[in-house]
Amino acid sequence: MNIATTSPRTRQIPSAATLRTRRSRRYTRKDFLEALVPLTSAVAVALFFADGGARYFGTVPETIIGIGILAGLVGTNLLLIMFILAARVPLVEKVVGHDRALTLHNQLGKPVLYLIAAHFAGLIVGTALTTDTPVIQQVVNYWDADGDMLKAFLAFIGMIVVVVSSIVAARRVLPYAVWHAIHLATYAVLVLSIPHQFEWGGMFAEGTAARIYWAVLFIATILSVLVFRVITPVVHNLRHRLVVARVDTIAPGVVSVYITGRGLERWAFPSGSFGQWRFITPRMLWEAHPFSVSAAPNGRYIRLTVRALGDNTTALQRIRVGTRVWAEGPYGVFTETVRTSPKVVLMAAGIGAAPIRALLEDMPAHRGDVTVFLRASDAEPYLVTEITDLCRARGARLVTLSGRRANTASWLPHEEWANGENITHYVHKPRECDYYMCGPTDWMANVRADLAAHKVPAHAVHWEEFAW
Amino acid sequence: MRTTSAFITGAATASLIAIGWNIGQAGLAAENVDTTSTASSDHTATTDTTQATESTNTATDSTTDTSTTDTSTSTETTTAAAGTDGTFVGDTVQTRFGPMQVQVVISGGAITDVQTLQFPSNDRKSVQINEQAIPILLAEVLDIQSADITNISRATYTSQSYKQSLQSALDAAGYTG
Repeated sequence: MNIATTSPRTRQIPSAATLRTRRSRRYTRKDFLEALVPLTSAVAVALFFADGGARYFGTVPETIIGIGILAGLVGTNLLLIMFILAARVPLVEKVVGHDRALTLHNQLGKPVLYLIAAHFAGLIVGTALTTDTPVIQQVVNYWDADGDMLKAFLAFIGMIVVVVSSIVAARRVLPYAVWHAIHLATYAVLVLSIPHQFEWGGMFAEGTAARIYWAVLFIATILSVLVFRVITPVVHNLRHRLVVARVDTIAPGVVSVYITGRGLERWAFPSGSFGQWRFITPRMLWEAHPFSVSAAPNGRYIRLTVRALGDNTTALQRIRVGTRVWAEGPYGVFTETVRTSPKVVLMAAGIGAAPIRALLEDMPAHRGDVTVFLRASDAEPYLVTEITDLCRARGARLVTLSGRRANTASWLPHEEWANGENITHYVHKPRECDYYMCGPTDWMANVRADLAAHKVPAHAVHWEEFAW
Repeated sequence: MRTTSAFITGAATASLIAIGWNIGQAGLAAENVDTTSTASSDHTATTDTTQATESTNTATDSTTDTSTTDTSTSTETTTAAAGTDGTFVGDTVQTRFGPMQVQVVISGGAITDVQTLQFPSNDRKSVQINEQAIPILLAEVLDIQSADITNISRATYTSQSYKQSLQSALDAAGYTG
């Protein structure tokens, strides 16, 4: 298995016009998917009013109930969207991108909890007022009412636990496995909340459009989770049977892991994409890790380049050849699909060189149209030998930037920054290029600030958020 | 999201809610007209047309009132104003889960039966609750001989609307207990 023999698939070099069309199509699809968040919420509200929901807004207590119901409907709609966002639905992964989808998922967590809390409070207080029951008594009445309501109460409590366990402070304390186990409880929350929605209060009453609409929505959500989070990975892994085939130490604390399997040409991880990798050893079995591939798909092996940062990445340094691997992916849109112009700048800092190397390997571009930046603090940049060879083969320009960090927010080393340098000193006509960057979060933020200062359009700047 | 898309989305969101609202209003208006026409169909053929027109005119403000007055008038005629004895139909009381209407049979100055003409049945749950609650309410009415029944937990709406409809029937009968 020699890297030099790797021959990337020859892909047609896209023209500026092709890339423009592609970009506009992608943005249209993205806008459409994003619009579904308010639109589906509007459908929920519209169905409520269409079914005579306006009759709630007569007296004050009834109005409180009506608002509570609306909060419940919109909250449930957003909860289902959260499930879809985390379900690895290929359309969402390709159009919105894995990291943005999960960011949105995280952002929706608290609003959904508040809406469901408002639903809970609204119905308790509203009903207590209409029936002249003390609020506490009303809570007890509902709790005692029957199995459906009890399940709804348990679902609400479960939801509080899940959201609290997911706030930043709690996640820092909780081990991943514990957090993940709690998070799996959301499926129980969803299922427990269903009966009271369909059985109580005539909300999704038999024979109404709302009943059909919501039933379809629930079924579609549950199916998409089942298909894309369970069935697809199982099928992939049983079919391809991934195994560690070779481990190279390329620098102190950095290894390249070669993974082989059956029929890998049918399970391609495009350059720039990543997977969730679970190495089947007693110690590492419990956690899946997101690693980008560091080689373009070649049908023979998948390659990861990993630096020892945590417990498991350290253990990975000593992984044995022959270890079974369970993978999920490919994920992410840090790939050629989001490119918008023929000229491409690839920028890596530290171990960020891994996906940049893969992108360099098979980015369809004319000679001279690709520029690579490798940023390292003091030692040689990771993968510098391989990247230098690839640059020579592909006719790409390589810029190596070594040295300590600048004292201010600059992505350049101190010396270059002190000379007053910025992107324009390295890239001719920076506004006509696409930028793919991978490295520490603050370094990438500094690059983006420099690019924005030189009026590089946002759609030409690509990066993946690894901070979840 | 691009600005144009944001505007289109905003407009579409507002339109969806507006459409839902309008369908709902149309539905509620139709519901009111329904109640009115049911009530007027109880009357004799000659007065039917005028009654219906009048009821439709007043439908927007006090449909329930109009219909009940009409209905009780008609029942009184059938029972030939026999003092407190006879069968008296109560108001239709609208609840969140559907309409409730009862009629009471008074014989020898005592409440001998209460028949539920319609009860909230918009959904399966309501039907289930009502099927359990109504016999309990009936037993209580026959026991205490008035509409002064206590609320059944889990069936508050049923209890209250039953009570209200029953009371209106008793009022129509001039029944004082």
